Amino acid sequence: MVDIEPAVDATPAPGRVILDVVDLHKAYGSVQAVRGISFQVHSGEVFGLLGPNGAGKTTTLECLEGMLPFDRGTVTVSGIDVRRQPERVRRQIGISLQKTAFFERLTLRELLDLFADLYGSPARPDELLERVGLHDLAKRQVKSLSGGQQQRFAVAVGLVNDPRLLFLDEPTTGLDPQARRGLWELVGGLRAEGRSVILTTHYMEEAQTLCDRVAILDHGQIVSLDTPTAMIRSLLDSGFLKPVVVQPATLEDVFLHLTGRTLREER
Amino acid sequence: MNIQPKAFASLTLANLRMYLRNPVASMSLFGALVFLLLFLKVAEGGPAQHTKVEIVVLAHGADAAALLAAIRQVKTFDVTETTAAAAHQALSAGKTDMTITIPSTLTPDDAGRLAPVHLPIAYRAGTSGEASLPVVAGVVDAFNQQLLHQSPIVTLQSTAINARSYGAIDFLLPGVIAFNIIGSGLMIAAGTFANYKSTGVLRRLKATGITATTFVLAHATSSFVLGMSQVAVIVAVAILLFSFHLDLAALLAVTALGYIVFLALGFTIAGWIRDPQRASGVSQAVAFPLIFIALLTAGLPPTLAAVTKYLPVSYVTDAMRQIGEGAGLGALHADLLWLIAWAAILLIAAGRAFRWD
Repeated sequence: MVDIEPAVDATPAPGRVILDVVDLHKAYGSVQAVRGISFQVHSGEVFGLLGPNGAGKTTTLECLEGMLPFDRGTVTVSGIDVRRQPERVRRQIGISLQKTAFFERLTLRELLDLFADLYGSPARPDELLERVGLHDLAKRQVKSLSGGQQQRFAVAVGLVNDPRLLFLDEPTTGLDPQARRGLWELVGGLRAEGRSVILTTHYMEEAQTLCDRVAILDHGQIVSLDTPTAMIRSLLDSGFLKPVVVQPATLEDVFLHLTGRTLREER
Repeated sequence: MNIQPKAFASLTLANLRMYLRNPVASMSLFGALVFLLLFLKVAEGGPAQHTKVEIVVLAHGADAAALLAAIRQVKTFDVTETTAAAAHQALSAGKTDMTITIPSTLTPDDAGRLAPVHLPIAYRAGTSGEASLPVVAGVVDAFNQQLLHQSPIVTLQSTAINARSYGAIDFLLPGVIAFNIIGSGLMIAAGTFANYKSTGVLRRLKATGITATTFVLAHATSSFVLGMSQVAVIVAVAILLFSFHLDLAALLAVTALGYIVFLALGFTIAGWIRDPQRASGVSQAVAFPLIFIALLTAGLPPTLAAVTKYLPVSYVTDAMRQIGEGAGLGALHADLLWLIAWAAILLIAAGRAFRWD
């Protein structure tokens, strides 16, 4: 297993704009869930949406994915207007929803074949399973997979239509450190292929490791948007001081040292 | 109507595959109905049809033996010979239906002549014993003619024609088919749909960009294929067990229309009620009275029947009953038109009610 290269410092990943969000607004009744969000994501970039629960992360993602109609603003994916052609946008992007669910009683291979037909894409189940390290489990059903395997399978399904832009909503929540690292490696591989990934996470060290840039949301607004390194530098420049304990390793390092980095499968 | 053919075909097949891999959910009702038919056959074919006759023979000689033999030849009689006391006891206890006593006076005298005698017959009122009195009378008539060496002037020449006598199956089969249509059309369709919604499967499908029409049509088609094959098996079993002659075209038309109506009703409920658990509950709450109506069409109080006769289930059962009586497509146009009207209304409602999430 290869360690993940930390995200490149400073300038955003080069490349054309693949997602353009301008002044996005979304309300549920009288509750303003998203209040004027704007940002761009470039090709080959891993972009993180961070924020406490209820900050509007999932609502924002669903608006961008064409899954949820929004009230105001414009969202374009590869030049396609999400509000005008949500179905066309959905066919172009890859999605792994926060609550991953697939048909019961179908095998992984059958599901990948089915989703290929749903997207109108050529079926390549073996290639995708190999890609996410589940090639030995082609004949298993989703319910028999561990949490980490389910998340990787969800990414495999997200890749069925060979998208240039993937949305991963909390892909590592509830996973053990090994499974989380397995997913990080997967995301790193997607970036290396020039795909863009937008992900949400509650794990800051994950965002710091994976994301080229992050947007921190609170109360439906972006309170900061930059590279993780630049954000940290700016915080320090403002005079922020934390009692520094020189600790060359973390508890996670201990955990991984003792239990190894190899992916564990529950069953 | 924006249908993606490849997505439609693949989703339909996937649904059918899932139904087959989950027989408990998709087949249990159907299995119970087939079992009901088998049970009916067993109950109908049992010894209940036969009349239990006990004969007390007090006479001697060839004539008494000949009369006994003639009674034994009646096909629907189970005849045993016993004593007067035992016969009386069995009849009083309800164990037999009839006792025939061949009196000692039927014994010829020394010259070989017989004196006129009475043949005492005891029977239980209201049973097949009572119904069998004319049969015994016929046997006695024939016996008398034989004794007098007369050839009868008029004899019966009976021919069995292939008309069925009406039995429980005639009332049950329409109900059983309607039951299955409601069961798999309404409950399985709405239940599966509600399950897709609650687990998030539906959202993942929406994320692929397939159109709602494609999804609904695929889901409806697979439920339709499942239900139609179940009805085909039910009808085949009924034909095998009860020697039916049905107009298959008429049966196909009514069943197909019935399925479309109840699938659309299932989708309407599942779409309208956004909470999946409640949608399942409501579909069952709607289905059970309909099933009740389907099975009890003839027995409903008139005031209730005046209302329920406009429900789609009544057109299905009425058409099924007519088909059971030998009606063809032509005789069913009223039922079929009503069903088409219901299908149209409910399909529009289902289309309006559909929500991805």
